[in-house]
Amino acid sequence: MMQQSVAEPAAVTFTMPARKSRAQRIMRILIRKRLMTFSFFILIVIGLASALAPWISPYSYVATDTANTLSSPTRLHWFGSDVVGADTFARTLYGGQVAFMVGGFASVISLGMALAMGLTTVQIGGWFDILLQRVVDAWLSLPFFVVVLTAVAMFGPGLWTVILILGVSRSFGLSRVIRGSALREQGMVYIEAAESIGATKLRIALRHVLPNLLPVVIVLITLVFAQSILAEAFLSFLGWGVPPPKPSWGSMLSGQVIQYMYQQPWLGVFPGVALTATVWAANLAGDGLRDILDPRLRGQNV
Amino acid sequence: MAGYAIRRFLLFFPTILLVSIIVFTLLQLAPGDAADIIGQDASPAKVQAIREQLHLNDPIPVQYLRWVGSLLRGDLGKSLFSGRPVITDVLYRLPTTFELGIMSMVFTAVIGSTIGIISAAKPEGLADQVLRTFAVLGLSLPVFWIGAIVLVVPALKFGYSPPAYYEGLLSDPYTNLRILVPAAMVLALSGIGRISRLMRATMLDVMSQDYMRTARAKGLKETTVLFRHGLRNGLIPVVTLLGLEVPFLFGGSVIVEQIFHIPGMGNYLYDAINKRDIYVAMDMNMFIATIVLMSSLTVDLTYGLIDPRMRTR
Repeated sequence: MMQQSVAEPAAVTFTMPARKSRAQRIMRILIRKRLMTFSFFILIVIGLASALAPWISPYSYVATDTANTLSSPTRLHWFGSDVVGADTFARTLYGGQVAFMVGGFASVISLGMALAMGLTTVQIGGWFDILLQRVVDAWLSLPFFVVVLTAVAMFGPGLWTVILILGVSRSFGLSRVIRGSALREQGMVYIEAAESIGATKLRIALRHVLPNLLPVVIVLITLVFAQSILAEAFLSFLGWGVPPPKPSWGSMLSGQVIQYMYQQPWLGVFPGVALTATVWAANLAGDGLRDILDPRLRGQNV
Repeated sequence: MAGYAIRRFLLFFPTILLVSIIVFTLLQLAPGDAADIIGQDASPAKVQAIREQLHLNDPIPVQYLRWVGSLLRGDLGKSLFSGRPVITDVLYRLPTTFELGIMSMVFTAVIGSTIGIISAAKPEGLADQVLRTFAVLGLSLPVFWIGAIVLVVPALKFGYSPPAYYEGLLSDPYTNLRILVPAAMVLALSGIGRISRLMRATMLDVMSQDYMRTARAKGLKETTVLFRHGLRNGLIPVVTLLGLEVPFLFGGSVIVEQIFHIPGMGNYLYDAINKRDIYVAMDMNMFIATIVLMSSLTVDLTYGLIDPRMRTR
């Protein structure tokens, strides 16, 4: 006969998982996101090497060794030397300074401007928003690199010209992303609560909306960092970036250098690898951060 | 649909007007004017005369209106140096850049979406992880470096070089393609990165839809499900992104045409900029922006045709 057996309820033991410290949580993310961790590691290594160039590099970036022009990597010139005998190792390191300066400052400037525009337009709204958004539309329909190249050529090349022009031209498109995120926050109950107790618009923007945009901002900074470095290299390659004697990874491959590469292919290897590695690492780091910080942005191209 | 098309079409005009204001302002902000550039070594009186001749002493709004007026009449002005009408040079060079752009766009669309689909077929699988990492590499590769490698490595390894002189597609297709195919491939790299990422994201989105489950439940073959139901819907956003590739193509063509010695629009703009031929630069910016705007208009209209949901937005 059938016997209904009711399983004894197992003794329920319930233990609260031990709360992990902040450091432990960050470590777990770093281990799970190996690619991102590795990318940050690459960025730190290249960044440090560039920053410490005066101490690491055996040569200055202008010193020429006329006895060893177009040399392959040797014990004397670790990365080889160029057509006038300048040391490629030194120039690659100092070129990194330019890249990190441009990437760092241009991304901070464009995000700063984008935040100012995005937050203002959301708080003021109405005709101001409509007007500004049409200007953003117009700006976005301009071909980015063509405009940047024209502007740099008209204002004259120079490190800070390049940084400012890259930062400003990128900010309009980014303000659209910031505006979108700020609008989403604006619809939240806590903003309504803040409004109901009489908080000013400025206070709402700075104290309530801004901190919640931080994840988006961090992700965007990383990606714009990569794009700005690449854009500066393009400009320098065309001869309109950072003027000589300061080396840039772009200018190290510009002008007649391609002709000399037929004689000495090593000329092209190190600046190209350094540039690609930096931009690749920054893009991968940005992607990783996006997955962690702001999943809503996933799959978007910004 | 008609209402959507008209609304979208009307938006084109204020936008292009704003673009012209931005371009004009940008060049007004720059130090020096055309007279300073032509009369570099001339006496101040001569420079003043040139300034008078080019109407550079008129109020700025008047100068702006004169410029826009001549653009509307289809007059792109003349080069400060060669004296040739800009339109002559542009029409001569347009076919080359057009060919380069179309070829690069085809590479981008075909290779990019294939990679995206393979990625999405087994998300987080080995192929997906590798392909995604390489898609990001595509976005990060400097065009000029890859261009240099494409030229130098075959020359050193196999003694192969592309032809030294450019020929048009019609006059000498073989020479033309030997230069333009590698150039278009190099130009397509970053687009491939962008498109494959988008394709993967939209395919994953489409795959989680109810109609995909229904199709499988009906007993359709997996390939039929993937291609007939999945791909058709997944391709829609890709159409938009292809439209957004147009400005990148123009930017990239400045560099690619420089490396491969192609006499196209990018090369023309670069020459103009190097000589500080500001009218040509201004007109080229305007011309390229117009093409970009028209392509995004076309994309939006096609989008409305493919996806009826878009019309109401």
